[in-house]
Amino acid sequence: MKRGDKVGIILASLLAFYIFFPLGVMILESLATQWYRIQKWWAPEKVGIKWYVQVFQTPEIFKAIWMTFVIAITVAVFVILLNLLPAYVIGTGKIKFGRDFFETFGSIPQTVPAVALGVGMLPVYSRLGWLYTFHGIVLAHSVGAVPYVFRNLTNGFASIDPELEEAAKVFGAKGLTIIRKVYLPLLKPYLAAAGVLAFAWSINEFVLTMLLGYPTIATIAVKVYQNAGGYYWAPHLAGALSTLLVVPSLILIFLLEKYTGISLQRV
Amino acid sequence: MSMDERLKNFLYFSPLLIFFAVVLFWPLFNVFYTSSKEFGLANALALFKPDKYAWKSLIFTIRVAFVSTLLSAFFGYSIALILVMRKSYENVIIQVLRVPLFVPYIVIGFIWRALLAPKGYVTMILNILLTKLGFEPINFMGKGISINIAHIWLYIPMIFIISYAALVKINPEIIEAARSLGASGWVIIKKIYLPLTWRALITGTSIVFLAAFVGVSIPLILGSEPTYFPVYIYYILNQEFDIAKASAMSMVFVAISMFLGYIYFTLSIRLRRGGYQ
Repeated sequence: MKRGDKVGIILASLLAFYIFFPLGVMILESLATQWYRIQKWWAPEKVGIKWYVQVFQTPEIFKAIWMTFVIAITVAVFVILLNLLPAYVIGTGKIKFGRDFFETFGSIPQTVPAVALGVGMLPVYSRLGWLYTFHGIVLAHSVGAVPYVFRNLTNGFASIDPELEEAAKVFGAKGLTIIRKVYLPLLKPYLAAAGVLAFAWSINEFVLTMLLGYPTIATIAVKVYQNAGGYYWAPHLAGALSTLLVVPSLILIFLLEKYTGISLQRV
Repeated sequence: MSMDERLKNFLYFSPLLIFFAVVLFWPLFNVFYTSSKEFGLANALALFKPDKYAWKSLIFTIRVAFVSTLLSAFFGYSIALILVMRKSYENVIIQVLRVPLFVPYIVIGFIWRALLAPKGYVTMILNILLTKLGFEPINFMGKGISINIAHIWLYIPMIFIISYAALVKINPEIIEAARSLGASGWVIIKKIYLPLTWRALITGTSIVFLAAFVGVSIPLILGSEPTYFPVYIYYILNQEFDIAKASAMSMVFVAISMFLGYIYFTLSIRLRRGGYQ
């Protein structure tokens, strides 16, 4: 410990600078209402919350902010419900034949490029009438969220002593009752982790929203893109929107990890 | 296990099967169908002749993704090694390095564009230094290197986390034994750490390469010439509305990424079974 201290301090500060400086610039862009022109080019002349006010007062952007969180929460709930039973049979080892296959099955979306999926989804969605609809976007966001939720719930089920289920069966509990009464209470931290990761995935999703939902449905990510060079270069608005996207999720994750003691794994 | 039970287990799995069938397999099938029926295989292959833009874009993309992966693997693994060997400020460093993983890709693209633009902090500071030293000022925008810089901010942490998880599982007694026999740091890395964690490192690099290769958001915001391959597909779809051509290009894309995904999954299953070593 002693010998490594100096190297440790240097490494920790370098990495903290490397990671937080870009995020600091993001926040600075969102707060600077006026920059010095030539000298002191690096400093804002005036700071304020002007851009945040503007963001909330533009109806179209405000709707996108609201939409982002509604979609993300719906995605989290939907993907958890979708994966509960599959994770149960895999996690508790009920499926023995082809276990590797089924375990991998839930991770397939990770290997499918979002843009290629979007190309394939366009005709499917237009045939089903799902283009530019809320549920269409929720389903599209859900695809990429499955791997995180599936893995977390599978681990959750695997961590629970199978004897509990046996005991419940002895007392006459069946199928869904077992999941509801025996597993769900013990699964809480895993459910929270799965939910937050699905939420994080949804607010991160951009291509599919743009291809299948825009202009009827726009999210913060879409608005960041438009202000960050997609349509025009407005770093103050892109900065404010990015900050609104990043800071709440980092706080949410921090609180969740602090109070449940779990560690979210995105890789 | 009875037939009945097997059927029940299969039924339990069915929500996911149905969901994937509608929003994953059907669209993917569509990509293959459209590209072979409407576009034609010969036309699809013709897109990837060496003088065609699609080919240039694909090669450029593979090169950029490869450089990003290599740099991330080097730095990510080195940081993990230093941490395991020094054991100081581990918790701080781990927490700091996890932050980029929760920043949306589109935001990462925006932040680095703000930093690398001609008036951005990184470019300005670098150019002040360069002109003082008598060099030509540089411009990052529109070049692969700006994508690399944004990529590694996200992927160094990814590689770090995967390699660190494997490195801490190594029994410290092995290291102690090697030390007491007089092995130096380098020898320990070469003879113990690397041989015991190469699988984790390969898993990490394959997932990072895959992510760098297929990700749209970061190169879309930073822009490049030639256009990044997934961005090129996106433009064909969103600006030229040519779904047949986009499908043909996606097919090649899906084939490559699924192959990489296959490598990743085979390795990661082995990692899980073998306790990360």
